[in-house]
Amino acid sequence: MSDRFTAEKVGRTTLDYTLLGFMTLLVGLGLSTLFSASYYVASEHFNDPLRLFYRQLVWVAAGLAAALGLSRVSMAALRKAIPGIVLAALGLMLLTFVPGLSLEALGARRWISLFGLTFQPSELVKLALIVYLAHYLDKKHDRLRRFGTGVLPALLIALAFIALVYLQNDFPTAFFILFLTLALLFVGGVRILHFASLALALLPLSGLLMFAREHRVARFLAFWNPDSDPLGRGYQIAASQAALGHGGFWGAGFGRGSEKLGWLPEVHSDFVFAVLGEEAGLVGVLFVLALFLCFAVKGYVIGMASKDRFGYYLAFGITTSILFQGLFNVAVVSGLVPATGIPLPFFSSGGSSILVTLASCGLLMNLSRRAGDRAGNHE
Amino acid sequence: MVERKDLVRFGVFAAFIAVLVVLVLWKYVSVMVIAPVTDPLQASGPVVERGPILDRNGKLLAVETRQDSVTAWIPDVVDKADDARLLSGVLAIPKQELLSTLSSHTGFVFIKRQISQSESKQIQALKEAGKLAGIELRPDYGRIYTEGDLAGHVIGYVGTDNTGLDGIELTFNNQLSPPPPKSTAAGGDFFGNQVFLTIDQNIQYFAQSLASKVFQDSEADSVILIVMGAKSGDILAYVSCPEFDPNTFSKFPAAVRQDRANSYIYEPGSVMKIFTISSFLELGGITPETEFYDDGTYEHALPDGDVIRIKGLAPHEWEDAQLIIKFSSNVGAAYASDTVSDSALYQMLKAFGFGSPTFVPLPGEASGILRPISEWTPRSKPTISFGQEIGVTAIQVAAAATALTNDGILLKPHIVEKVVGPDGRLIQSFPREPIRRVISSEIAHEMLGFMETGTDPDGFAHDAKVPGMPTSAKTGTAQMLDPQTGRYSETAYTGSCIAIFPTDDPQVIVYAVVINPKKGPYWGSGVASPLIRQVSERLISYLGIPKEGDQVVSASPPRAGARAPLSLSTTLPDLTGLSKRELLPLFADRDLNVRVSGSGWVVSQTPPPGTPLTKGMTVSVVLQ
Repeated sequence: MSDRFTAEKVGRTTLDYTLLGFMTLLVGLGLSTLFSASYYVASEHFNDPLRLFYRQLVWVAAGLAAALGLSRVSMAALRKAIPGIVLAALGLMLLTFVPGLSLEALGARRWISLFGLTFQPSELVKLALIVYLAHYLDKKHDRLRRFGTGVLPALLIALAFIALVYLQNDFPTAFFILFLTLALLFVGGVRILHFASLALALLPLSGLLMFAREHRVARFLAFWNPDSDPLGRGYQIAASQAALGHGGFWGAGFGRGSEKLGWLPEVHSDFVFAVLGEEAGLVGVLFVLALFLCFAVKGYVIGMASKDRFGYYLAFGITTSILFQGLFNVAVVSGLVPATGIPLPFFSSGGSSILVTLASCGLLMNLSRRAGDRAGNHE
Repeated sequence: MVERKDLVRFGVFAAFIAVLVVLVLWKYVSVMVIAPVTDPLQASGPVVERGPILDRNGKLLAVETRQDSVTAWIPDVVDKADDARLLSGVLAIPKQELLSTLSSHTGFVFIKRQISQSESKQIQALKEAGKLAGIELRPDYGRIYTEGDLAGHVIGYVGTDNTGLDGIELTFNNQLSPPPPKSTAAGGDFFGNQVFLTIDQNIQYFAQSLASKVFQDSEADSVILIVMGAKSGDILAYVSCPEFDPNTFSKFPAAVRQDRANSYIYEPGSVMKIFTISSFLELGGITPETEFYDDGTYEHALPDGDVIRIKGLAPHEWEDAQLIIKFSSNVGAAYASDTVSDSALYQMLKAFGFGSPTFVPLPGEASGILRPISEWTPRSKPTISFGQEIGVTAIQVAAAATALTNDGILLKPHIVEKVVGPDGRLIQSFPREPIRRVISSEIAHEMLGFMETGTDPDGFAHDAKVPGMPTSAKTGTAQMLDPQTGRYSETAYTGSCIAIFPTDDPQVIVYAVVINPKKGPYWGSGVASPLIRQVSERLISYLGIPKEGDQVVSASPPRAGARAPLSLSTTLPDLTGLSKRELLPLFADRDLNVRVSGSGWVVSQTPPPGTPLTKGMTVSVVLQ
């Protein structure tokens, strides 16, 4: 069972309807929540209440096209393209430092702007790194127990990406990518000793880097004691919690939230879940969290059913990425962890995030179909 | 391909996720259901647009505005110096001040609240140009008092968080800005109720202007002026000079913002006689025929041999109740008080409302000082009978006078006419509210008659009378207590005057108090009576009260008066006050569409007066 044979089997059209169902529900709920959350912000900033919603629709369409493409691509072809993908991601990251192309917003250089479209390459980095690591862990599976030749090369590539993201002044994403790398290495089978020393070395280092910038310290302090200065540092968290508190068990009703009316900064992007909480209540929160968990279980099952390690690691990486961004984001919205800039997949306004999330789902569909092949077409 | 070893690793990872999920779930349950928090800036939930305050004719006195406030979220601010430079140009705040604001905070901070629209636009333009990272505009509701200092003490003002701090803004805060019901539909904005005052903006305007003039000319500490509907108890004008402008209330010292009409306690002096003499008549101690001999000094021998002596201004010889009022005889009033007991007088004064608040819904009302009879000395009763040893507020005196104008029945004074919902639905109204009978109808009419003789050419209050208008009036002058010595001051006086007209069928009560005038006459008839006359003159023409010798044409609208026939030129005239009949013929031959709603007299029109007339133009008028 080599890559050559699997490559030829891509042609069957069995669709994973369960996965598709979860995806559809998440995209639909995400769009409707964003609609409710963004119309006030959009009418204030653009004098057009539907501006952000329409923009998101365009990106969803692009994401679905990407998903369709990736669900049909040959895995062998994908693996062959990995060096190109990694180089492209690196190139795009470097472009954010080119003054003419980069777009600075809210003090961070995370976007590149071309022909009026903005894109956040760090979102692509998440997927590129997953694909790369899945490939690497599969290829070097037998050598992973050695640090120098096994773990280190992959780690260096990952750290290069992380460093670039950090230099974009995007600490949360950098931290998230580090976390994702460690999770893949752990599941990939590196020695516990290596894993533990890596975690022990890198996590304090990231703590140190966090305190290198004043605003992160402020966010962090605000997290620990938001009530000390309710109009100041803790305001965003407090407003978000107030939205959730207002929602209560059953919610205020769709469209009837009030914190989104200019009270909660970044309500359409990082804090969109607060609107869902306010309008759909705890019931809605539980439903969406359950949906994310079902999606994750499905993703992990696809990985387990995969007939090679590459498929397993790829499915694991993609699923973990989406699940963890989701958990991170909802934890921030509820005030469980300090405010970060991690979007809520499927929900947050932001083209790069939804495009990459849907493209990742396309890869999951692809893997699922292959797993289906094996089940139905025993070799 | 996935091996057992892999499954163990995955299991550990899954357990880690499970812990995270449980933590998140626990947090959500606690934040949303167990201990919900409220927004520090928006505790009441949805945004409520505060309702307007209007005068009795629907003229706007306080309206809501929506302006932006400039805020900063410091963590997102990139270049403080640049932001300070740019904002300084727009907001006219020194750069250094802005820089220190941005530097001294670490999180959320208001930079300037309620900026103008053009400032908002400039900041928006800067933001669209990619500047001002971390600076945000956020909507903030503000309040504009359209008539400036007009009735400022009645309206009050709101704080920057738009809750009422004084006046009707405070006492009707829950009506103007009701907490939105949690379950109500139409998420988003809610609208507060409209509060209609009994104040008439026009009456308030001339009352306030005339009182301010006296305030300045006499260099008084304060001038209080109240105009009240005699039959309704509605307060039509409510003046407490010095005035303040609620738009910029913080620039005025607290003493200026104080509503003296309901909180300043003073000795009323002889104005009090209209209530004490009425009481003696009601109690049967005297009749209108009872006469006392005034040789210039009241003398009363006590059982222990002491003699109380009270000197009057001049001897009046034999005088009855009417002459006591007409010449304001302290000696006569004191002798009359001997005919009743302490407790009887006390009960009567209580019944007139002295010693208790009137409960006009304005903050800080004082009860005045009416000491219990256990604290009275033998001197108290005769002294109180001419308005000393008793502390009153101006609103108490005006309210007590309603007993004279309503056949002996005391009314509760009103300053709010009605509360109307945002949809026009009447929520609460405050019609005429009788409290109790204080004196008989006959005595009330008799007293008005006695007071009318006070405005005869030889009466003490003749300066208060508008020629041709039968007016019942009474003046008062009281020495003020010197806070240094605790004794009556030789130089500080309170001059006051009350007028009720027309005597036969009273329409208005006007009461003026001039506190410590330092220039010109200090006595009531000298300083307060002319003010009363000037206000009365304007009232008579504004309300259309017929004078003696006027030709009464018809029972025309209360404010139409003598008005020149309407003629159309090139612009739309002011139609307010016209009847439907006056209105329609004028438009019949013109190419205008007239839409009329309601009945009565025109209270509002669209477009406003002065709009150029064009063919086919639609003119809407509302009648009430």
